[in-house]
Amino acid sequence: MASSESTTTSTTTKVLRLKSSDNEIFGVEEKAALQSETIKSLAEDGYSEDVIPLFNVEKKTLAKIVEWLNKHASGSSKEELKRWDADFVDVDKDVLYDLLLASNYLNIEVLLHQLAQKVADMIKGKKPEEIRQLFGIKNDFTPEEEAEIRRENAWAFE
Amino acid sequence: MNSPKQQNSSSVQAVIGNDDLLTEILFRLPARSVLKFKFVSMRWLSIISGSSFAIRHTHFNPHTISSLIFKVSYYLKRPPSFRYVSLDGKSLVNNSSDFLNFDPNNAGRSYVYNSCNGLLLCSKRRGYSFERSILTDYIFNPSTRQFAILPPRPGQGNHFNRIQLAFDPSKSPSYQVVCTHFFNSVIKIYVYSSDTKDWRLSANEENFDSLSVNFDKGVFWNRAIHWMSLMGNGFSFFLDKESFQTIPRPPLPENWHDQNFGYFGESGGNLHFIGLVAANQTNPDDFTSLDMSSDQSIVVYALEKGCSEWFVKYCLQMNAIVLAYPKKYCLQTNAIAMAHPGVIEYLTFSPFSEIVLSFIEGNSEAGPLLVMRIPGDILSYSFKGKTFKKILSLPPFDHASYCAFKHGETLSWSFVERDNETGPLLVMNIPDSPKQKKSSSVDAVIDNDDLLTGILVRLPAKSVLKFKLVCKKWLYIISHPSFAIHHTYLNPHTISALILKLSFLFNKPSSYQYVSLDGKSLVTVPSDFLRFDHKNPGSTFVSQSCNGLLLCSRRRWYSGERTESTDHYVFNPTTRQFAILPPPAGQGIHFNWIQLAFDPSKSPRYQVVCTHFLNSVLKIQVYSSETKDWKLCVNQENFDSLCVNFANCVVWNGALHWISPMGNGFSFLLDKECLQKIPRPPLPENWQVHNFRYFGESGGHLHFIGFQASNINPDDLSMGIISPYMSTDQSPDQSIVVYAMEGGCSKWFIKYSLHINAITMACPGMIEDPPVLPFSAKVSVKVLSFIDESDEKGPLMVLNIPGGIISYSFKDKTFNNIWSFAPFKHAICDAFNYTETLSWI
Repeated sequence: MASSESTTTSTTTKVLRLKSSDNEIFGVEEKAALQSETIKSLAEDGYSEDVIPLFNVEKKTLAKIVEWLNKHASGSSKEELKRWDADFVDVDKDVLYDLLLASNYLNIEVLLHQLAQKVADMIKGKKPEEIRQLFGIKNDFTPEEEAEIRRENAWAFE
Repeated sequence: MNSPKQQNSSSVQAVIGNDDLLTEILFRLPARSVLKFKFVSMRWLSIISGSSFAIRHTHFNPHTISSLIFKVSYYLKRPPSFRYVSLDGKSLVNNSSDFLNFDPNNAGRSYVYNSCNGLLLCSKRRGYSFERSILTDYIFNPSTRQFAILPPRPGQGNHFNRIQLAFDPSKSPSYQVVCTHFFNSVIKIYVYSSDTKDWRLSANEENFDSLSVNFDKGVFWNRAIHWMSLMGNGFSFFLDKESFQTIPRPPLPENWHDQNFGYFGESGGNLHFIGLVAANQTNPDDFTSLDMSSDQSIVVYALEKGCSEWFVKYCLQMNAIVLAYPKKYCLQTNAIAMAHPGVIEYLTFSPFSEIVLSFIEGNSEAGPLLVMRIPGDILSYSFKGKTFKKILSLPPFDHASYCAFKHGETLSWSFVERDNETGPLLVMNIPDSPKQKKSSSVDAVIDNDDLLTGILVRLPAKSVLKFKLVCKKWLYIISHPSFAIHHTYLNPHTISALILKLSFLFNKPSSYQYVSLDGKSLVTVPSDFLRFDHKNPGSTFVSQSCNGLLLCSRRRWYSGERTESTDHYVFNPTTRQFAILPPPAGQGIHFNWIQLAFDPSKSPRYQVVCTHFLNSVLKIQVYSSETKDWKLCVNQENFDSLCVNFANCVVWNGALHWISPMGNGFSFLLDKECLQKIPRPPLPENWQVHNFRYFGESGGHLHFIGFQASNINPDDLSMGIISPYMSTDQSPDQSIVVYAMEGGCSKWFIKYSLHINAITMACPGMIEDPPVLPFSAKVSVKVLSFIDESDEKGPLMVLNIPGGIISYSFKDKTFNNIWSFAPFKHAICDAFNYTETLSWI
């Protein structure tokens, strides 16, 4: 009796519990969760039995991340994943940047790549002035410096 | 009598029992031992834990640097890892996970700004998902793991603030933190004192000339903060007098450039400025004992306290490193040499400054130590023992950037203040900034250099160059040489345009056209496009393009010396950097063909191959951007050239390929330096020399294109079903057939074919000219380029037909007019694939 019980427990997949900064707990299968290097190292440090606290991720962001982790551990075909990922990153700007920070914190390289590419695609056609406005960056060049950079990279400004 | 204590003599008892004497002994122990001895007894603990003990211990042991803390920053890795390495090489701890987790109430991401006599100035940033990002600055003593939280930095936001710790335990147990704010020529200096526990505005000057110093790398020495520029200019701010003073300039050689700068720091009571100097440019009197034969030396200039002049204190020849580590050194020498003066004038972070990480003087045993990064290792060099020692092994192809903080154990108190449970969490103070209106996550991403870099490397080269103008921080990130390598690695082969070279024989001088492949942009390249080398006059021509770099040749105006009539350049049209190639050895240019081989997905370096074939003798010389020299790799007599056209050479798959119009050819493998036959495409039996049209590569395939009898669908051809009676001459039905060979394969197959009638129907202009016979079309159609990349556009063939240039998409089965020769009918045209790349030359 006891031995059969132990075999069942060993075959059931282990679930890690992730806690968001606002104290919501998400259960994620170990295989999916370990795509995050941060969770992996925390799990190796012995957090795996307890709740893994993720101070930098809010629940609405963590919910999306968990969705991504599960999808990418589900064994979907490459084409399906590609479509699904394109949909996944097609979100509001605020959500996108929250996800980018979370994937950076959690060190999920594939997701980080997808999100960084999405941001790159969003800003690639813009002018430097638009970038400054978009991100609230002050222009700290003198007019002379600005003219010099423009001259050196003249063709890029055509 | 049985107690162990009583085995000691009474004098031992007396000494140890005397608090004053015990304290005197403990003062003289290294900090690490003292900390261990806290556990001896309650009495020892109370002596050691007293704050006066720490002050006096530190006073006895002020400057002993025992270890280095390396900050390793990766582009996309988070967090930057910290490695703690003792200088004796005995202890090496990877502290990435918990080393800086000293404050249990703040799990934010840690940064180390600087270290000063045993204390670290760090910050933790957390709360990306809160309304604002929360930045807390700390003073942290890693030996005792004590820390203090600093009140928020004054000033208008984090971007223009640089903070610097000033702590000299030999003078005072208290410390100061200096916050420098330089913007729009106004410098403001705020000083926090551990005595008053508050920030105070200490200097505020308008129209301040910053002398282009690097505010990130302030050095605290001699009661002042010192900043210097890469060119050796600088100033100091004296904390006691609250005044500025210019730092004398080190006696740098006249041709000193930004890129020569290596390191600025202090150690053992001296200020140090380290750079790369050509040996014959320094004053030999300063180091006469050294061998002057080497080309370049690392020179340590030192400024002593109370002195007003720098002097050359130490010198290490680059050759010594090369000799000690012959294999590893090559990458970095190249990195040094690839910098060209004036190319990126705002480059604030030169490759050489990534080599010299630290310099430590005043440690008695090892003598002065220079800490350097070479590929694969971090080394220390002892100027006393003249020996190298490895202190850290690095991954083989490591893009991370390393920064070293000197550390010596100290018991100095940081004056811990944690009155309440949560600890004061300090909100970053950004008044009046437009940022406030937006969500914090956008700011957090853009403020994070790793993430920002991660986004920028995914932009097209043109956008990246434009974004240099956004602000200095962006310029700094984009101008860094490792950014270019990383960017090119992620975007290796994206052909975005063609550069067409058009000559109208005697009607018009030849010109260049830039044509984007999406057909949206067609620009007549300005005539000064190729006038990148302003020092040398003469007309420059493009002879080849290879993954974003152009091989150009320039003919000098004819002079008496005909031997030197042609120069060859490697030119990056995106960044407008160029390099002049030294001439290869040989018997004049007429029998030489020069080819560029560059594959950024494999290596950031390039090679140039010079082929010489005369009287059945084949000679191949290879120039490497790594060694900067030519090497004779092949010298073969009685060589059968198979009638290949040496001018039509294709660089593909790590080899140069030549093929004859009949499909016979050979290749030269660059790594093995040997020749090899190319398999022949399965051409029909009646194939003739004039059927051949094009030989090239694209999207990982080698292509061989020609005309042949039609009515053959590609499947039949590839299966070998070719009717012998379908001779080219009998059938007017002609097709352009594309044979392709994949990398790693040894067989050609037919990939695409296009019926000639499709061209004549799409471009009726070309049949106005009698005789209207298809074979005339065959004669007059030239294939300029074939681009087959795995993107949405699909395979594209660019054709030169009478009247103009057209492209054909095999995916959409559509033609596009690219360029009309009007008012002329014919022109000689060459096409060069154009790829935007930030690659350094």
